[in-house]
Amino acid sequence: MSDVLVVDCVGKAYGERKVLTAASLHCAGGAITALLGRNGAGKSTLLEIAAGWIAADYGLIQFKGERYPRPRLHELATRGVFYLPDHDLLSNAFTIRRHLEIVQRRFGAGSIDDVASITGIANRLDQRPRELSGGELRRAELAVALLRAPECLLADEPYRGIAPHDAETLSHTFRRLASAGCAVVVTGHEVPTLLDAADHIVWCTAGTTYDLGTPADACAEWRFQREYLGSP
Amino acid sequence: MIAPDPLVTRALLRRGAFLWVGTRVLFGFASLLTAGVFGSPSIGVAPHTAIGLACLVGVLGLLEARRRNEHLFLANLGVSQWPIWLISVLPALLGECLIALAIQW
Repeated sequence: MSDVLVVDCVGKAYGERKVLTAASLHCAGGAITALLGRNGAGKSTLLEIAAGWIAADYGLIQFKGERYPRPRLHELATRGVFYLPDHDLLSNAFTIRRHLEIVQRRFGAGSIDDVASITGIANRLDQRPRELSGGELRRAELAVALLRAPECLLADEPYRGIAPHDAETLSHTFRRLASAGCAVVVTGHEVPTLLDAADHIVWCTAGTTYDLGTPADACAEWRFQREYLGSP
Repeated sequence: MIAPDPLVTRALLRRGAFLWVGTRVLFGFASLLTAGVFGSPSIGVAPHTAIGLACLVGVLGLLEARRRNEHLFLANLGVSQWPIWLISVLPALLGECLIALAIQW
């Protein structure tokens, strides 16, 4: 599996506070990478930098072999990146169906009925985002991502506040995207769900990242166990 | 520069028109309040003021798009913030041109 997106040695500070000092992320096509770490460790910042939503202070970002000194989301999006933020991707000005139609017209792929059926929102298509529950909204956002069929999906805390059944749907959708060759990166604190869904674990701590390998390898790593999982 | 979907463009144009009307009303009130300093208020404004008002409406349109989370959705579609600003400005520019023409007649 080749790396679709490479974030190499990036740093980011907010004023005096250094959130990331030397963080890296290698996103392989066809694999689900889980980015784990404590609150405030810099997971979301790293994902936002990878997506081109915020600028890093230094470091390198490479997408499909091309280097981006100052990547912007709208540039990366045209080449295949889709960034799913931790909240509020969809606008209340449009129904879910309208959002999906906009994506379909823009990228000309997929079927709205198919993605609505896969994500279980077929009966919610004519409602606006504010009328949906948290789980339904997350699935609707994922339906948009699925319809886009990106080459790299960066999902920030997709499982937050989601019921187990909805989490299962989300995991299946991520796996479906990965099976199509997409590099999927997810963050979160839902450790059992993420370890179950991911092929690869990256630990974000103290401003840097550690590539821990498979979930089994990660669970066997004593420092990760002691400092993040908290298990004996 | 990629233009937004026609559906989004229509929504932005409609919003731009409302924002322009609101900005114009506020500008009218401000002119009334400062009539003693700047002279009697009038519907017509100098060209540079009209352009300034249109630019302000564009910025307000951009902020409103951010408030409604449309900028992130549009960025995921490859649309930068410039088209959002530009589309928000159009109704204001059109309105200012119409006012200028009406005053000349």
